[in-house]
Amino acid sequence: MSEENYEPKILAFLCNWCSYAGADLAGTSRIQYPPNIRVIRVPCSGRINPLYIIKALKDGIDGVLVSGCHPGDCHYQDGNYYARRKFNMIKNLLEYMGIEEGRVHFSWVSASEGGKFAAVVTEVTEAVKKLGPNKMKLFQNT
Amino acid sequence: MESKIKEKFKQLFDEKKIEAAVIFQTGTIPTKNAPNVIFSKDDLETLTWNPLNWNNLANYLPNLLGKKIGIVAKGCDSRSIILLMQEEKVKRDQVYIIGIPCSGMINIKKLEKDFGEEITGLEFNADKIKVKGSSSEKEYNKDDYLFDSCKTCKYPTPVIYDELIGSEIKGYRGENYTEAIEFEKKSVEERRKLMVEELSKCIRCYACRNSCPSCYCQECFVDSNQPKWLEKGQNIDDIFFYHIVRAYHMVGRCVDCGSCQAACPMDINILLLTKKLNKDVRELYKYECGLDENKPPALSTFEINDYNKFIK
Ligand code: SF4
Ligand code: SF4
Ligand code: SF4
Ligand code: FES
Repeated sequence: MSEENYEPKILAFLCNWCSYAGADLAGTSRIQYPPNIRVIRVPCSGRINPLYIIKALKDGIDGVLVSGCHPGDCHYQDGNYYARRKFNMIKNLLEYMGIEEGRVHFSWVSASEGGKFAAVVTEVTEAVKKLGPNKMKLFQNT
Repeated sequence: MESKIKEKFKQLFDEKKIEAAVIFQTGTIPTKNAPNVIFSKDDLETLTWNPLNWNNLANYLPNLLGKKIGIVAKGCDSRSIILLMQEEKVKRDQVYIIGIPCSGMINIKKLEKDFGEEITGLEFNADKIKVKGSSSEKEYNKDDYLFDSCKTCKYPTPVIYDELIGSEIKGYRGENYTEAIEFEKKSVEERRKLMVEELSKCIRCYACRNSCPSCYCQECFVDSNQPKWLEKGQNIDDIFFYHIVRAYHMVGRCVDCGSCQAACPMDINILLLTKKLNKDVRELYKYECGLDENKPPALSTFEINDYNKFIK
């Protein structure tokens, strides 16, 4: 595949109560955004074990988006506050180990932010496109 | 020192204050001491205390749940004991801690290499190591052979103990994370390249995991079949995966004792990963683990105003 028409595969973990509903709203409002994401619905951003992110990258996904409710809005009160610490640390660690900034993204998107969801997906897709295919799956050849 | 520790443990056994003791015994070769759990005062005979005691003894505590245990602890061991209390693996009244201010452990592999022939005898005094082989004898400066993690140790004197044997030693106050800071400054390509180079040496023996007191999971993710997270074998993807996740599991839980690295048969610089995380945890959450048993671990708590800028 040539560089120009490279279409990255991006995995999105969306919390059920906000970001998933936000994605739904983007759909029902017919807002356009790149079709590169595959969505996994999770109960809460606090349900995301950073292992999932690493496993996805190891298995060859080009980018990951993790999205939950805004701080203060978590359906389970504080799941996203705990999650924020985990996300920050795994993000730092991945970059430190040589996985480019821009492979893994985080966002807070509420159920009413269909527009923001589309904007986030567009931004993430652009960023991952710029980086090209995930090099972690190419480790075997390095 | 040794006789004082022995005496104390003997007394504790006699008074039935402990049922087991975690100690170091002389090994079968002069270059290695054996960490061991003993259940009778008769086994105190071979108790030893010298700069070969790099294993973190807190590692043995989670397996002894429900028993009254005596343990000798260096600074780092004592922090791990606190960490295990923070995580409710060990109760304070369950352990009798004999604290030993630590003047640093030596990297015996390095010494063996420099000495050149098989070491048949070792003698330690305050700052010198006398090494004997079958055909030669030599003296070395202890400082030149200390582990890096010992050289930069902030808490050589145990932070918790029931009795302290020896006098307090002040910790190093300089920067403990120089190597991680230097590594951060490299380009992402370079970091990846160096990591791949370093980690390619890994044979996945998991000695680093087994020697770490914070790695007490009943089933480690690497052994899990359902789900199966990674494959067996020497594939660099799997090695990388293992090291990212192991390091991540140490977030806010690593006392920087260096046991993992000392245990590694391939001399892999695994502390490069945990140092980075320790540094970030300290900067972002103002937290160092293993200092206060009443504080929750960094990832088991949060602040409303935690750093948020990396989130869209
Ligand atoms: S590497 Fe992780 S899963 Fe394995 S024992 Fe250590 S903490 Fe537990
Ligand atoms: S990760 Fe290594 S340095 Fe940190 S506590 Fe475990 S054994 Fe000690
Ligand atoms: S001890 Fe060394 S070789 Fe063994 S798994 Fe750990 S890093 Fe790899
Ligand atoms: S329910 Fe959405 S982040 Fe917790």
